[in-house]
Amino acid sequence: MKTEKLINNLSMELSPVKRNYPTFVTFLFWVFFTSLSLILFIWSKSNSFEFISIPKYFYELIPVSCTFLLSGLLAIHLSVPGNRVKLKVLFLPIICLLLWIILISLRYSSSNSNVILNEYHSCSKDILILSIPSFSILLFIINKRIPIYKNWTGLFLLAASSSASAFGISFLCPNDIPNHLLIFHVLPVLALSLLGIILSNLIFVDR
Amino acid sequence: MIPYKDSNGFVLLGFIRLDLLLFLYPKAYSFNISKNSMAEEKQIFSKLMEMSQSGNKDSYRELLHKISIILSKYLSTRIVSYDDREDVLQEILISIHNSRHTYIPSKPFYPWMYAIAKNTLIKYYKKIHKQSLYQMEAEISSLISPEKNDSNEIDSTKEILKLIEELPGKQKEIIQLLKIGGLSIKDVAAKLNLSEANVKVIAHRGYQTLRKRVRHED
Repeated sequence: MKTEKLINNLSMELSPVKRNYPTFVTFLFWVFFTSLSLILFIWSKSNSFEFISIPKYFYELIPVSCTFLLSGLLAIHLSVPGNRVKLKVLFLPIICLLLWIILISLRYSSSNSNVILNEYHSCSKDILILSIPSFSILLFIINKRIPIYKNWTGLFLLAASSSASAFGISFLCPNDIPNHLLIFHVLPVLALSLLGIILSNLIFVDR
Repeated sequence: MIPYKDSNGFVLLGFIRLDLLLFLYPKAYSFNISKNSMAEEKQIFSKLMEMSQSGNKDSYRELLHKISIILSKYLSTRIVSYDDREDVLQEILISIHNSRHTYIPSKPFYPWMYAIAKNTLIKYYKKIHKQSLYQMEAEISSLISPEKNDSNEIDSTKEILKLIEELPGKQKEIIQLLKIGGLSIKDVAAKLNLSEANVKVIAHRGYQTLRKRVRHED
């Protein structure tokens, strides 16, 4: 078929479309939705916030929350064709994740918690469950756009949702020994983020 | 000499200075003009896209026409085969059509358009690479074990291609696009201006006809 004919066909079947919201508006919507799901999950698990555990090492949550916010923003931003980001910025969420690991590792020498390693090992399962709603909504947002850089977007998609849930779980888990945090909190986030790269070609709609 | 007012800002310098400027920097002046006209052109694209998003068919036709001219030039340096170039151009136009809701008028049009074009081009390169790898593998295997090279297989492929050629118009076109062109049902539907269900039905009929003819020949 000739291109002219295709142009005629496409313009004949043209219908008005609803434009996508700007990146930042969509990002704020996603953050609101994710926060809501975190609060609801913590509320249901902590008997209406009665057994909530305020993390002793609160500063460790700063890099996790940065990963959550930066990855979410980058995932939405990169899913719009024509949007570009400097390579340095792309590595920021990864640097935040590494910083989280470093901060936990620094406590190895000073840690004297009485809680044994395997106690609260359901954390990784909870991280997985809690990341489902934020993952689903972010995937829906991204698939409404056209992700060109699929691997990066896949990485940020799962890094954002898993770090958000890791952030939420830290208010439920009283076990603060570094081994536990590294194995049952950090490792699932890292594994899910890497899984995002592998799954990116399957989960994003091709247009 | 009549004073010449220009949007580039040269007139603010006075006409004598303009002469001097033209004399000293003729290239800079022409570059400025072309840069300005390009910016205007980009604005036109943004405007046309904005109108297309609200359903204006004439603007959309004009926009696609302009895009196809630009992309033809873009593809001519990247794809040698004319047929492939036309196919890729059409695929890009379909992609632009399917993703027109993602364009935000406040943002520049060209990066958006080229990102989609590049994405389609990469897909085409991947497809070509896969095909060439497959061909190379087949050639290598035939070189290593020529006795295994099944001539019957080649003959039957030729026969099937011949049978596809003999199919009625739409069936032939759809099966060629699906099975030889490697397009998806959605893309074929958009290309031929048919619904996806229709494409499936026509393709199914085509397969049935092929099956009957193959059995009949056997």
